[in-house]
Amino acid sequence: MLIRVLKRKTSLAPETDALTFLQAEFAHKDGGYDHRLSCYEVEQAECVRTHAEHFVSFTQRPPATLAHVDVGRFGPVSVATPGETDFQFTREHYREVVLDDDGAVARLAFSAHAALAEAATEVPKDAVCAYIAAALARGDAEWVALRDGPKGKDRERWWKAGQRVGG
Amino acid sequence: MAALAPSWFSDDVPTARWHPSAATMAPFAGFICNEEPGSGRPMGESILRRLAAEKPVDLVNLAFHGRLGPADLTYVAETLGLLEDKGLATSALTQLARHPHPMVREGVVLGAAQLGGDEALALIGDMAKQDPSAIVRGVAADALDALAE
Repeated sequence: MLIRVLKRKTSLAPETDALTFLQAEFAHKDGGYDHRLSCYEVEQAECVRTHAEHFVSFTQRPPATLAHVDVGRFGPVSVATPGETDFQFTREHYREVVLDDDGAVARLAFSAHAALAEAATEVPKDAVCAYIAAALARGDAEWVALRDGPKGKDRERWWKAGQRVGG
Repeated sequence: MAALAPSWFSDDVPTARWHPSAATMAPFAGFICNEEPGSGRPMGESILRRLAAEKPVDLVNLAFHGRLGPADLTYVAETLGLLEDKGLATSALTQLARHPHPMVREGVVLGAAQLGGDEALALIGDMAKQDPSAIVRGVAADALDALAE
């Protein structure tokens, strides 16, 4: 699977048309469309881990949306690129889908939107939090280092959410 | 550029206040299409964050410009949560909570959660109970849970 993490849960809502889906999920942070789409190449069973590592690396608290769309099924070209998470697994599995122009971005987004029922997956937040709690409980070196390191205090809400779910 | 009051906009706020000047809109000229709201290219989150930091009133004006589609408005709403003027931000978010598209209202929840404060929390609470979209109600309930932790 080549998964692109979604930013909005309502991207999966029936009210969201293909153009809005394109604009919301395939935009470049500096404006216009992103011609190098951030993705992770992972197996189905690795999706919870991927979400956990991705979001804890980049957000201070569990986000409202934990969902992704498998863009790999639409055949885009991806290149291995060094990722920027705090975890080796997601750094090594990070990919960029390289697209020539806005039209190529739109075609990919419209294909994904037309197949959302099969291509999109919501990941339960409790499953992600439980994964984190389990990793910490077994003393996973990367997770412990993150929790106890300088970034750990900013992630306090994640650790509490893990405690709530994982005990 | 035509300044149209969005149809979902409350009548109890003078709409003239929200019409942005040409200078405000200049940086967005390449992204906003005058023919159909929401048909321009996305503005991107970086410029919205810069507006929040440097020209917060312009960010609010942008929300009510009337030419942005749901995909831009959801990020405008979220970015309103970064404003130091919580009263201004809450007022704008309360208006945007009436937008007909659930993606915009999801952005309202995220912005209000970022903003914090009693009024923003009350807004999220209302949306968790009353928003017409089950997805938005769920996002709002999650936000309340997260803020309580």
